[in-house]
Amino acid sequence: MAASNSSKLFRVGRSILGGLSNNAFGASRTASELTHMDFLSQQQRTFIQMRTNLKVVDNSGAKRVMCIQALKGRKGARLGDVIVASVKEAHVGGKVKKGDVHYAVVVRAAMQRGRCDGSEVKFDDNAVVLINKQGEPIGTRVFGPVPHELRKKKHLKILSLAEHIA
Amino acid sequence: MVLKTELCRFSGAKIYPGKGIRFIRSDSQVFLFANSKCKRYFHNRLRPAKLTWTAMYRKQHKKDIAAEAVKKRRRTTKKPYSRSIVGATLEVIQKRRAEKPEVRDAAREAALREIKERIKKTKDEKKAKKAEVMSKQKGSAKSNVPKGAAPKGPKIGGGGGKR
Repeated sequence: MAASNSSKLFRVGRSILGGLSNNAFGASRTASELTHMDFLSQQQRTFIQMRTNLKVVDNSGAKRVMCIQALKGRKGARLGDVIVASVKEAHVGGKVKKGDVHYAVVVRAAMQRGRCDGSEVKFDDNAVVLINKQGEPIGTRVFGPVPHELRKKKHLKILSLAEHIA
Repeated sequence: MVLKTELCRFSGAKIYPGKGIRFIRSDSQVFLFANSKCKRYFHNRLRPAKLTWTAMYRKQHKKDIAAEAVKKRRRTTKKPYSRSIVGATLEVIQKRRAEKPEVRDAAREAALREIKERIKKTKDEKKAKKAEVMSKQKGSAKSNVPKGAAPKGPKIGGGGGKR
């Protein structure tokens, strides 16, 4: 019952999206096979740029931040890069509040990034860990998988806090 | 040097170093795809078991089983291999192999009989020895029994009394 409900919801959402983008993407696909998630994961993912919303995967208190500046790269930030982010949603009683501006490291990015051996790595969401000016994480825990590219970027503290390194 | 290859999660193809797209889901499960076709089909939720070109389909529908059987047969037929093993030289082994089964059986039986006889002999000797010993002990045992019982009696009672 619940499953059928949710699938119906997804279908509605997709048709709305298809109408907005005004192409035959959402409508012409076999509707039952594709869900909302897959529709998103199939779209071309790009850099983390100004106004990108990112999930915060530490216990600093922030829930969602918005990128307001990528500190490296002309086009934007990628996996392992540092950005400036403004806190959009936060837990009450956390270390950071809504409206704060912090540095943050991109620990998961949906855009694929080449590894030094030529293979590629990508995640299914965009996530950051908040850091201070010295580059130390504000929170004391890191949730979910993080890539080992952070070692190259000298964010060893985040790597040691992470529960899974991919 | 041995190349470390991995297997595609979708097609089951070999992935050599420098190839492949690694997709890490938020439950930190790692999926490795050989190419963008596999990646795309995976995200489109196509089932590899329904596509004829994947390893999973071929395994399910027993497509490679004939080749496997041929390989196995070849290996089994090759097995009787002639070379000298530890103690036995090649000649000895070949002579043994050339012998007729009856001759071998007879030889084995003879050997077994010999062994049995030897065992019997040793047993008999042992029995004889035992009997000798027993007969010697019997003479002394009669005097031993009362001696052993006498000093033990008071000791048991003494322990209880002190407490």
